[in-house]
Amino acid sequence: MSTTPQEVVARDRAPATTPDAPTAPRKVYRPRVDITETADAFVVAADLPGVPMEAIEVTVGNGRLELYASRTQAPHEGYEVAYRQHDAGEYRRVFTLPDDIDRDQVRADLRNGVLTISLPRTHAAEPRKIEVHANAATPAAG
Amino acid sequence: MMHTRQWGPALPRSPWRDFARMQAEMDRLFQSVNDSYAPGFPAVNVYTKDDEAIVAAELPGVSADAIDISVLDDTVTIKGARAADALPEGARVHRHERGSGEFSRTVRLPFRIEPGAVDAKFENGVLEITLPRAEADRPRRIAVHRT
Repeated sequence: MSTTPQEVVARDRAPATTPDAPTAPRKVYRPRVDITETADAFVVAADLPGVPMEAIEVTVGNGRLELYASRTQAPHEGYEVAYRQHDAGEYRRVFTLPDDIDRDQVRADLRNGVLTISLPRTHAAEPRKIEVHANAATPAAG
Repeated sequence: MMHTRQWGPALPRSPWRDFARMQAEMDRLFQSVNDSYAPGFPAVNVYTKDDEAIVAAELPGVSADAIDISVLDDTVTIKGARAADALPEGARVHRHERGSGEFSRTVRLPFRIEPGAVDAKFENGVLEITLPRAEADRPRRIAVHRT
């Protein structure tokens, strides 16, 4: 059984939206992440520049970690756009999670545009070994 | 850096195209030596008007005191470093997509900058630098006298 968070490629029918988002199509970005695993937890760090805390949704459930964020850009009225490499849009990325994540202890922190999600692992009891006994009774012959 | 001007009917010339070409040339000239970041990091947007420009750079994970902004003539250079996250003992890395290390990027504006009037703010990992045009650089109207 794999313990690696597997990436789920979100193939949307339409640009990702939250229920109250405008219907105009928006760019959807896949944020860059670092994922590390220790015995105690998985840690996912995602670059989300330009996103305030209230525009981020992190959901853990159904064996998945879903990261969604909405980024706006200041209008800069009166200026011409001479050069543009980053834009408003949405960030979206989904991972499948291993079974041993303690969902209630998941924590997400935002600092300088980096979202760090720690997913502590449950230290469930080792599976109990069942001893196998030979069955002394043999079927009656005949 | 060549500016081509055509004498003749004013042709619509996209400022975007010129700027992009000049910026690519600038990135090649000032390419940082560091491997971790692709040349041209950080991503920038440049907004201009006659007397002022704004450069917005994406710098997630960099702390404000690790950013160095310097201005010379008509260029502004953003330099700094981002430390890689410390890895605990025995950690396994499943994905490593975020760069770390030193970066340096220079943007050339269409005018000389007034260094004393430059302002910078840093919020949510985005650095916004406001760069006013140098007083000495502003065009002056010349009166034409009839003789």
